[in-house]
Amino acid sequence: MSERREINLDERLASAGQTQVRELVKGLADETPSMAWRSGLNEQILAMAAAKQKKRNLFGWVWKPAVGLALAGALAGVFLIRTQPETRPTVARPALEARLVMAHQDAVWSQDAAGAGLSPADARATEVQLEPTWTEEDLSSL
Amino acid sequence: MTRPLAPLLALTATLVSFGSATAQGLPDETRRLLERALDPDVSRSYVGTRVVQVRMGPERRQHTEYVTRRGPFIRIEFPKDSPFTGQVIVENGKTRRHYFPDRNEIRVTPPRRERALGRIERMTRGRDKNLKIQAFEAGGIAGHRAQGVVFLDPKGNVLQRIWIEPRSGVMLKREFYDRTGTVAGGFEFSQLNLNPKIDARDFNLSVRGAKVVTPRDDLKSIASKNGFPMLALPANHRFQLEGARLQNFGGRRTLMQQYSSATNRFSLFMTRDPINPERIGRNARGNFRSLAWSRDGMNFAIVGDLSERDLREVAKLLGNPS
Repeated sequence: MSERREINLDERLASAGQTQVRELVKGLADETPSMAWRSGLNEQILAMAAAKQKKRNLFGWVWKPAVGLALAGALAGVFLIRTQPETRPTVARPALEARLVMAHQDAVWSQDAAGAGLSPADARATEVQLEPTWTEEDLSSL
Repeated sequence: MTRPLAPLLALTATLVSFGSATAQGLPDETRRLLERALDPDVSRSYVGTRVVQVRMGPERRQHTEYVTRRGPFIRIEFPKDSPFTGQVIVENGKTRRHYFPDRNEIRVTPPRRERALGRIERMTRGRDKNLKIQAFEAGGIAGHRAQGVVFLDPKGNVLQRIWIEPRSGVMLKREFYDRTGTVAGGFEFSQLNLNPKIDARDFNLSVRGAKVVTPRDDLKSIASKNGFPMLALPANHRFQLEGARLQNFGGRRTLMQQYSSATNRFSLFMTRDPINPERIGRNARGNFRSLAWSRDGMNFAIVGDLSERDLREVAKLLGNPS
């Protein structure tokens, strides 16, 4: 800044208006926050910060392991699906020989139980019910 | 049907030797009771209602039938609410005729009553000579006093129980058991009249226009429709064809024929699926004899209680090459 400009600036700062404002500002009360207030504010800020940190920690203990497990399970599943050969459940079928002997045994028991009567192994239901050829009314006509 | 006297002769011959074969340890009263029950010549008459039941696989099948009997003649009918209502079965000692009203069909087969008795007497002289026969306290059945006879294997396992009305020899109840002691089947009279009025015409079964069908007709029909060979014992053989049906064993279609003589019976199976002779022998061991063979792309097996000699003879007649 040139010397001339500096002198101009000083003259302007020394003017009556500027001097008046200077005096007004000097007259204002010095509102410096009290130490107690500052301390209380700091404590509140610290408390809020601690609460947030606690929540973050809780999240970490619960969700981090859960997410980790889920990821591990997903990876394991992918690995297993890729490596396990495709199998179908099998149902054991009785050997034919056992079924033949069983069929003969069933027939034997059926015949022994029925004797001269109806063998359950051969039983066949009457498919169509026929009307009787006579009723009690026929008897009453005599 | 041929040879109607064969079952009667077999039973009579057995009764003559019954005492000598089973007298050891058998009380006279029990022996006489059995003789009376098995005697085919006794002209006993009765009418009654009985329930027949048998366990087949996991199911227990049961039905009720009305029985009318006079000597060798028997008539079987069914209640109105029975699934078999309208069907009639008549035996005359020579043939068995079973009428199906819905099909207007009469199926003619060998008689079964004497054969059933023949098997009971055979138990008294079966393969195992140590079969035990004992009496037991029977109580009453269908309002009649009963005396009980039990058949036991050498180890004491119960094979069969029969409840017999002592005066008439009528079998009031019968139960037979499997290897585990479970009741496998039997019958029991719920009502029985030992002094009935029976008309001889009760044993008529004549339906004009009804189609007469024999087991051999069934066999021909099933064999031709399903591509099986028409293979059977000759009609005049002592083992007579009682029935033929198509079975499905887990998708393995098999033609099953049932044969019986006066005292023995067997089933013949035909299938395209392979049959292991050793495996079927293991399954049958203890109860039956078996034989299996293959010929011309078809597999055969016989399972039954016939003797080893009869088994070989029948298998040879049915085409066993060995």
